[in-house]
Amino acid sequence: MSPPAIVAPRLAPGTDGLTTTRHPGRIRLISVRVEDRRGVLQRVTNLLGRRGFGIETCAVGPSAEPGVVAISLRIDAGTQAHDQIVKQLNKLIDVVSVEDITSSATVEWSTALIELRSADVDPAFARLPSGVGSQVVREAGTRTIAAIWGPPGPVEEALAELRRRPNSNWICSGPLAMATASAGGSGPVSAPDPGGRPER
Amino acid sequence: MTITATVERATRPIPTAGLTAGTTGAELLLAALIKEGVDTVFGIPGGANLPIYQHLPDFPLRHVLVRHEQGAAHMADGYARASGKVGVCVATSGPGALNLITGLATAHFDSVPVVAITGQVAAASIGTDAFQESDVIGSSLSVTKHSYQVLDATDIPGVVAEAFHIARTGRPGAVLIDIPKDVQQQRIEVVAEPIQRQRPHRAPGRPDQSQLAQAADFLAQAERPMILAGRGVAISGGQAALRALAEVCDAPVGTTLLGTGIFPSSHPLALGLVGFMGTGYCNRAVTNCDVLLMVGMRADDRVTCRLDEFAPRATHIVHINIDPAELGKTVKADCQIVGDAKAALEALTDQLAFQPRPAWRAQVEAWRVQHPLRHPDNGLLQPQEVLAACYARLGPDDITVADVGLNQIWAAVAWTGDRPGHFLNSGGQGTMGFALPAAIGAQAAFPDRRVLSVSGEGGFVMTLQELATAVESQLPVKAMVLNNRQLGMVRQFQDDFYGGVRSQVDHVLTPDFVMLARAFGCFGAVVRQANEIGPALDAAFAHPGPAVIDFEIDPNANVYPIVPLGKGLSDFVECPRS
Repeated sequence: MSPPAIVAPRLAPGTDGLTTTRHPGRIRLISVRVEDRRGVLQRVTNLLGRRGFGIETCAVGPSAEPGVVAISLRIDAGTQAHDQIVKQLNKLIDVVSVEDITSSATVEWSTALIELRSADVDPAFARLPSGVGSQVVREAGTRTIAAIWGPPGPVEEALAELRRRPNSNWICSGPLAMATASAGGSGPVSAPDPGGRPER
Repeated sequence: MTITATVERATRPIPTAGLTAGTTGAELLLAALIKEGVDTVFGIPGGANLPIYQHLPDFPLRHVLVRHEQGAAHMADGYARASGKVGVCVATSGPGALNLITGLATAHFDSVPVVAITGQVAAASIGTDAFQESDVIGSSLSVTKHSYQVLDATDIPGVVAEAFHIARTGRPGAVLIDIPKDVQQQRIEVVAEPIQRQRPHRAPGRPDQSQLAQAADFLAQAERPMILAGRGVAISGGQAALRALAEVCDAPVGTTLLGTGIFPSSHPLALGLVGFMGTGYCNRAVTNCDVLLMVGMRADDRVTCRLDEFAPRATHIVHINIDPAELGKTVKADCQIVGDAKAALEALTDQLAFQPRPAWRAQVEAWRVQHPLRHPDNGLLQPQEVLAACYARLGPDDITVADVGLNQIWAAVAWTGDRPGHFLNSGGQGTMGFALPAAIGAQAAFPDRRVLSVSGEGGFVMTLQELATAVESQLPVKAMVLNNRQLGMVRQFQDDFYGGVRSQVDHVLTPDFVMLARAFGCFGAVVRQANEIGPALDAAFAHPGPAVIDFEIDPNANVYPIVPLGKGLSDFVECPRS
């Protein structure tokens, strides 16, 4: 008996493999602040993976608070109960705070670097969707590296367009995500909870 | 990941009496263990932890030399479950460290405080695939509450202090400390300040008052209240509080496997084990209650069975757990209370007046009569007869450790004790081979108590090399082997749920356990019929050292009642009438 044929498209039909077009209803935006200790990113990603959550994007870098690293995650919660993302991350000893900031009030911001023919820069910039900023970063003869930035949707729209053009290359950051304090987010300078965490 | 620049380290003089400047990381580690109150460690020396063993004789620590690192982890686990203290195990790098993983998972899943200390290759060799290098931090991430790789010996006192705090605070768990060999040998003049955290790890505060009031209201209004309780009650020392609440509500109490002993088995409200292999009357009560209180338990699939048929008539479910992540994870309770079980139970009792529920109690008693525990009477040795004779020879302080499989359920259901910490088993991971080493660990914690290991022959042979440890370290555990010459629970599953195809479950070659016991220097006996049970047990207990008794039980003995896979709690199948 021959095994049944399995045809599994890598991407959902009609998508371009870009983050904003996949399973929008299952996406959670998670803002995690962690202590700047060796291996902390491994702890975060390991936990999410083994509990069945897919990481679509992950942006990591320093924050306004010394010793605290901010992680912006877009997570495909799949069919799992998404409240477990926050509850389980909160149990990690190195996690300072974790919030689900999935909300229309959350600001998301992506940055991409584009490498293309110098002659194509002006036409490419002219076709950028509104809301997408751009700047030439380095021109080296016939090749140019430019940066574009903006909300993930328009940025990814621009990148999808570039994908269809020959002789160009690009890389894109996972979006940074921030909620204002009034929208339930912690804001950029909130102090750690003086009472400590209740439980991990 | 280190993104920001490393700040200059704050340091202080070596604080431990007896240690002077120039002390080594290994000595700091051992001194820190003493400071945490450790009296016993279980381990094996190897290439990457030899500096620790070099200095071990200088410290007042009992070291139990095990025969396999998995045994060390299970012994630390058994020590911790029995004593309530943190258990400690030690292994070398590479295979030594990886051999701990099953034991750490077993402890961590059951919220047992264990600290594992592993040697590691020299810091400069990490990442080079050096001899006996393993990524024990990466390998243990999912089976520990936290872990450390210490790269500077000055950090050791702070790391050990925090590791023990994390292991025992809030929901307890396993913590691993990995120390490269050169860090164990590093000589230091000062030590680093204790670890400072943005959000220190703390036990939760008092449970939310409004949620407690709501839960009390639900219980007061209930006509058919039911309580399910797990190991969290034992960890919090809440057994008296549980009993008080049950009595004030006139509510029957079922317990999880790990909750065995937290409610007196002789109490009229005791319904015994809940779930997949729970008692029929307990599962009936859960199915028919109108208010269900779950406390100190996770409600995993072995408790709930088919989730959408769990407590279907309950108009309110109250769930109390110290870990918020367990609330709403499986059962969606409408009243979720984060907090210590004892504090929550006491607060609930304070808000309630005694309320008899005669109609509900009569119904529960009718179920008790309707669905009695029974086993075949076919002339073959039945495990229940063996266990009854074993338990009759135990005092209230003595300890039974069950393995995993049919033996575990038989032992738990037959358990007659009335206090927690005296019936131990691997609930969450269901680790076969747990019983013997965990019993050795429990015996190390309480040398004067009788400690029984109850296992099947399948699980027993998985870790039986630790008989050598028991004899050598004079830890006189008595190993009861319920020998059906099969992987019995698997055989029952194959018979009942997998088309009756018995596949790879017969142990055609089962060793002669009497000869095996004697080979290790233990007392050995075999029991083939009921009238031999008592004399064999008495001889085993009279023997000053470890003993093994091979009970040749009915090979077709099953666990009943049992809920067929995929079914709800009320669909349990009972033992056919003889």
